[in-house]
Amino acid sequence: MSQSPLIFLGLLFSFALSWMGIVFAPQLQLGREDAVATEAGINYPSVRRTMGNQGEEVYRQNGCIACHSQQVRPRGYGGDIQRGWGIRRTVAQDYLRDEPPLLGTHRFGPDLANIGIRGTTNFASTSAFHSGTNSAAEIFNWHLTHLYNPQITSPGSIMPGYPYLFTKRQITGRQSDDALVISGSYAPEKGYEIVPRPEAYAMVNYLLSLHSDVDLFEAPLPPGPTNALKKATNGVGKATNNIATGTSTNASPGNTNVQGSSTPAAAK
Amino acid sequence: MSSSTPTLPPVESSGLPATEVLDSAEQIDASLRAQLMLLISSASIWGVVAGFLGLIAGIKLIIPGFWNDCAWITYGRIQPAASNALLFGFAIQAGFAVLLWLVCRLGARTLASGWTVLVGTKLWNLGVLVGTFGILSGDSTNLEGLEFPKYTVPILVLGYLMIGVSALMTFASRNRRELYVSQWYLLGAIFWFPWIYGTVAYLAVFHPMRGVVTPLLAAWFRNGVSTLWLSPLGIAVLYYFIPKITGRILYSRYLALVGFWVLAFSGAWATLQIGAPVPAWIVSVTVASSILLLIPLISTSVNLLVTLNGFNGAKSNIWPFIKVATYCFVISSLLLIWANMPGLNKLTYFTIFGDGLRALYLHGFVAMSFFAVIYYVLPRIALKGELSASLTKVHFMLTLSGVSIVFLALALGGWLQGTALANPLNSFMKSVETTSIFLKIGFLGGLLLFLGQIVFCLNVLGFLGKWGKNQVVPFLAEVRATEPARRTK
Repeated sequence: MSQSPLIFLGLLFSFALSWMGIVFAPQLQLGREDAVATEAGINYPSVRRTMGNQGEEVYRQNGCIACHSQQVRPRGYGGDIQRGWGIRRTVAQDYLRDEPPLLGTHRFGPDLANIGIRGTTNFASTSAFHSGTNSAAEIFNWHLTHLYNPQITSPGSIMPGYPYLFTKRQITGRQSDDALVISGSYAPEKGYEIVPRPEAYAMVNYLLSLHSDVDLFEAPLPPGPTNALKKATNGVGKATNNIATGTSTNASPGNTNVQGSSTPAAAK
Repeated sequence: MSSSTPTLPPVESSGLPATEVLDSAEQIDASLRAQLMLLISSASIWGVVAGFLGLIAGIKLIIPGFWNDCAWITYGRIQPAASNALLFGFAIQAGFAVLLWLVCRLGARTLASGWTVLVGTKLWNLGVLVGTFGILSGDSTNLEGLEFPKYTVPILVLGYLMIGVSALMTFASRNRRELYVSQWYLLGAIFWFPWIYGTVAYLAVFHPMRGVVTPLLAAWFRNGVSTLWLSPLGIAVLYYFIPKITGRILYSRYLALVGFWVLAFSGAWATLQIGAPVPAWIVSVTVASSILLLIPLISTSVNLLVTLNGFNGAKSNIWPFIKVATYCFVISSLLLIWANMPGLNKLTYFTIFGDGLRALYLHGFVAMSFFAVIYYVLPRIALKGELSASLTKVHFMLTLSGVSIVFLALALGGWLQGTALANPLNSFMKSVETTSIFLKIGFLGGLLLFLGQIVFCLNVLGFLGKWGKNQVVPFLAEVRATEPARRTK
């Protein structure tokens, strides 16, 4: 007698069980989740504005997920929180706007779940503000330069550069306002400048939009007002908006020396 | 050639009803000739392509500035392209060959509906090719393990269905009705893959569910494609060849039965890391199912190891492959289960530790068992000729040494990377520095694996080329011989 119909039923049943468990039940529990209103009345997670959405696409196209995770594990799990990668663990609610959520499985580079609000002292290669006045624009430039060639901002990094997100062009007349300020061996030859393409701007906008710091029922913020990361939130958050509306990021002379801003790291 | 060896391991040879009319091994192999030649040669070429892409990915990790101007080979694209080409192009495709051959041989039935296999294989290869280019051009879905873009999914699904239908029809119309252990796994594999891939392709790629359910599904797929497709095929091969080569009866059919059913029930549960941003019960279920997987692992291992215990007098050229596959199955499965336990998972989840384990699993167990089938089957379907014994030996040594180096380097490196990351007093760059030496050693192992794939490909294509020439030359000679006669007429 052949047992194959019996085996088939067994296979179907065992598979259906795992299907119910891993496909259906989570959808039942999480499928109806929606944005929640924060104290300020803004929905969380908030809608990513146009540039941020385009940046997410650039992030996906270049497979940043291969080296960067976007998830913070609870306190005591591999030092995620102690390292300054977040003030609380990330939960399903944090990913409602991501298509798909870019959780990641490798950390050749640091976690990016909160890169938009991370203090520069918590960067993989610590960086300090060159000026105390225009920190947001400085961070924007740090990210652009880092994308162009990570060796400039983070010597010893194994991240590849993305020069194809930038244009190298001959300077005609005056140097462009948005050209990267690079000195030393990584600078382009005399008479040339490196100008970010829209993709590079979009990418930095996306990175600066990443934060999971809202007090949630299932992931409350730790008590106590003295939270370094939270302080950083206010500064950068405000300034990010300026960047989103402004056209040129290098306009003010105070923050143009990107090389200067990273010297502490190099000296370390 | 194969008539002297029984088609079925000894345990099944008793008690067969005399009324069954079985197709002979020669008939079966002949019916599979075109299909297996196509599948095996395509898989061997994809092995080389995947090895090459993986090598570039390895260079990018060691020399980050390497060819940065080219978007197509940035690490984030070439790495998933390499791993998908290896999984879909090499491993799954070689798996098709193994599946079809074992279904035919064990059922004593010639291949049914052979033409759908040929069309399906062409489609599958088209899908893998389009998908690999898609990832390189920046169309990755970013669902890890499932990066092939949306537009390749219908091609792959159709390709699989055409191959699967033939396997199923052959199975249903088998001449030997009683089922051998391997056939349970084969039947499972035939169904599990389309169920898992179909679900994930639809709900994660085509109509993605919102939020973290999609990466959860991707994890479910990553886990399922190995525990419910590659492992069953590898185990089926071991259950087939170990009794056959040793000439012994399988130690216990009941152990095998327990192993199979517990695998069926616990194999398809996703493996997520501890602390993932999903409801806690999902992670708990994951850990529990991993512990349950110890049951099939232990029962299958005991069954196989007791059966082959003390046997070393094999003259068979595939015996080394079988032996290594068996040991790698035991070691890698055990380590993979251990890596899901909370303590180790916390430490090593985001590191290269898992990559080392998966390399041991894929190259040491899955590929080795598939290589055994390929080396066994090629001379038989061709009816004459032999594969180069020295190339086979070189291939075996390269693969064994390569996988050992990759496994040891990445597992140890991942452990140290995790330890460095776990201490928040260490700068992040310290974890990078710790890892980089192991990435370099792992690269050397990868190079050996790549050379192994080249040797394997040359061996297979050389054999098929010679076979083709032997078909054509006598034919041409015949034509030439009759030519003058025709002219005079």
